[in-house]
Amino acid sequence: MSKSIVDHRYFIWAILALPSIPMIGALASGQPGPNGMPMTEMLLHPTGEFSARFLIIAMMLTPLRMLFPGSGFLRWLMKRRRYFGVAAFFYALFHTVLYIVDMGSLRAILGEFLALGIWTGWLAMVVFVPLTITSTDDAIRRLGPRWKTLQRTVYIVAVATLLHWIFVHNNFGPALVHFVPLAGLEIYRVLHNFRKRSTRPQAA
Amino acid sequence: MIIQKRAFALLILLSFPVSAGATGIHQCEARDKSDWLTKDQLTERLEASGWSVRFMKEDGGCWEVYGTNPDGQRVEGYFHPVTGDPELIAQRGRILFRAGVGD
Repeated sequence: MSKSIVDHRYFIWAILALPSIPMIGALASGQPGPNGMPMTEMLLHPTGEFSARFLIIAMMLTPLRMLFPGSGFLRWLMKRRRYFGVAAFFYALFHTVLYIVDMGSLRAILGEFLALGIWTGWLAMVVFVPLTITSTDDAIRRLGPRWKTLQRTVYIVAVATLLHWIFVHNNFGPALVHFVPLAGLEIYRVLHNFRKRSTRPQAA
Repeated sequence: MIIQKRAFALLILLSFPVSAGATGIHQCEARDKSDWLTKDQLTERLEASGWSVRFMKEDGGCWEVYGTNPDGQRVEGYFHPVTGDPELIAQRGRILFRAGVGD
């Protein structure tokens, strides 16, 4: 009974949507944040952060499974990896809409477009769109082997997101706290694959 | 091999430190609170020189002002709490002005 709830599609959606509930509540209240900070500006940070977190989780799963192949929890997550990616996209979209509303004019948006901390965010968002559109079962079938090649552009999203986060605040700390674990696992994955490849000729 | 894996997993876990609260972006000269300009005084002064102020808060002993500068750029500025002079102005992390460097 409880297992069927946990395995239901709506369960994972509910978990992924959970952080947006207080955000939407705060926005709907119409009240400003502390020090009179407009809510559109105040929510920029948490929306961006949850987008990055879900993106990082989705990307960490494959190397984590190399480390812990027996983990049932990781297998459970792996089956739902696309949901994490789609959630990351929707938090990023929420983030972008808040930014546009908060800026209030196209002139203001274009006026800072070329700042390193800004165009990297737009780049991540643009590359993210086709990844999300092709996250359906139908798209996987239609694209065949090209699906994986397309989805690998998620690395562009990750690097652009990392740069956006660092340079929009001119601060390395919080961005690195989030991305170092992923980078560590990617290094492990590369070393692991390299070792496997270098032992293969001897076996043959 | 298993020990190596565990050590690696531990390393990954340890790399998730608790994030600090203070921004540390800029520090202003320490001045007695009673000498500080009020929010209204600083807002009035900035608006007189073409700024529009959205809100401000204390950070690093400065008034950290969020608003639009006279060039229409959305900026975050650190102002001396007593004199109200700009010390650091940044547009989305891009430093536009730093006292003693750009002026």
